[in-house]
Amino acid sequence: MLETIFPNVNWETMWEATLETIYMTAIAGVLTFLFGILLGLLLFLTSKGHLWENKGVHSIIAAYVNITRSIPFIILIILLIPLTGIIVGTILGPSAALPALIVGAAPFYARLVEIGLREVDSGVIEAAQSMGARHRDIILKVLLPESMPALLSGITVTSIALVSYTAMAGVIGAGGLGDLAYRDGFQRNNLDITVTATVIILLIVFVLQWMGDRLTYKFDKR
Amino acid sequence: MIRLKQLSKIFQTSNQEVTAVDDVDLHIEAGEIFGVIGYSGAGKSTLVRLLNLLEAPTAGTVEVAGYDMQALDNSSLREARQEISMIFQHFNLLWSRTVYSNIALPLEIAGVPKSERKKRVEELIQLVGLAGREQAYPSQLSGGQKQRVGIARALANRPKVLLCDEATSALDPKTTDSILDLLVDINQKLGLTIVMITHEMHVIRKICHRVAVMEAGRVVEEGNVLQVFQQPEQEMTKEFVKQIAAPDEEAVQQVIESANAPVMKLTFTGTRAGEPVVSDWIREVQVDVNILHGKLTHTTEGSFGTLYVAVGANEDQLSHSLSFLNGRGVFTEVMA
Repeated sequence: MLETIFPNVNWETMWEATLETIYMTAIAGVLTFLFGILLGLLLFLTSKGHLWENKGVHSIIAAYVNITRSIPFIILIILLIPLTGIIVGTILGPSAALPALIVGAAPFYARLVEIGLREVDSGVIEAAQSMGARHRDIILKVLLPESMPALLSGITVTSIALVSYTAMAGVIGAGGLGDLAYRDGFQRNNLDITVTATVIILLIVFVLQWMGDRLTYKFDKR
Repeated sequence: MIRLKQLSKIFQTSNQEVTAVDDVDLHIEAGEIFGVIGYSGAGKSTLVRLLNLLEAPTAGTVEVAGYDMQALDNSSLREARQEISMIFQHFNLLWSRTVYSNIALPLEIAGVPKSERKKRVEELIQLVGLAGREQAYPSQLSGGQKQRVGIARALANRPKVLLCDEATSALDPKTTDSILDLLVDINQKLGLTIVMITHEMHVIRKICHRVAVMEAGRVVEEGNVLQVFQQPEQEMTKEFVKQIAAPDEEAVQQVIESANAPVMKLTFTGTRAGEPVVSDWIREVQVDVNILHGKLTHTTEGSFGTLYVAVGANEDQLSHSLSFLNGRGVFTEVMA
């Protein structure tokens, strides 16, 4: 049955590509979450009227974020090839895609984090200060927990963007479903491979969105 | 407990200077409930934030609970703030934490060990009357309950001073009264010094011992609540006093015109609460008294207000009434 509808699909290759896509998205997602929160916190805290108000530092971070966000991802990957070689030790395979994925996605997520932190009621921060809270307490006990739903829905959106970034990472031979759909599907004119890869990518996106929504809902006690 | 000297705060905006607090001198005794009243924009909220240095003064000195606040370095200031806690108009609770862990937050910040924290939070929940709601989130509470959590949280580290920034302004009158009762209870039980910032005269008269009236950043009048009620000197103060103790003039005029007997105006200025002056008077002088209009209020130190009555009496009885009432400390005059 499967043979007749998908004559050209090699299921073993398809499964491998799926795992590669999941691997790239998961590792890049976790690291983007960490770096993005760090960057977003810095953006927020150094902005006017906040704990570490510092125009100089803020403009530097903002410039970095804006520049990396403006470069099209496909170009970012090529630009980062030398860096990838140094960090990962190879410029091929799924791991080689990680630096570019993180460099591309973290600034995007950082902006979402910053927006989420701005939504935290300034009165609550003031209350924590009136209790004699250290900056560490304010960040860990107030800012991050109070913005958690925004941080989670932000990482959901970012992970979904990461899935499509992984497809582009095929350029540097990263593997994954996008790569498979392009090389084996499009270039060799095997429509069934392209369609199957697309359906699996869709499934991954749906699952990510569903998990993200559930988590966000769970943390939202407002 | 609190001593402010020539305290000023000037905010620098892009094109002008705004003087929010202007040369304020205040002295607040330990164990006192001290009210600061003024319209919005008078500088009361800035003043209260100068007390725990959430705002840094532009000039002058702040001394609270024995600390020279401006001389403290960052870490001693944080420790001092644990003794000077604060409650807010909009409660400022963390929605992500339950009632229990909201109250535990200042204890976590102060580094209190977990077992001790648990004991203290349970005590506080009892104290503010929230037993059974420990695991609720703020979004599941009413305004009054949220403020109770705010109060419990503020008391967690056994502070010496409690700053209340419009703490009842977002609550309905009934809830306001229950929160005020709780504050009085805490003041008496724990000997806590309370500073109440408010624009509601009702709050001042219900629980404050002394009051300062603020206008345009300055304290224009200050004193014992009763004394300020009896002899308001500034226009601003008179306006506030009028809100709770003066009947509106139009109604009085109407009442006097339509009365077919002499009308007397009785002014109560701190008569001991519960003293039945009017019934004593009726019994003593044997007159018919018809209450026409009035506004009486009770402060922590006695009744205060005005009463208009029509009196069915002859000349003799009238003069007897005047001397009787004035003798009992009720300032009385015959209107018509």
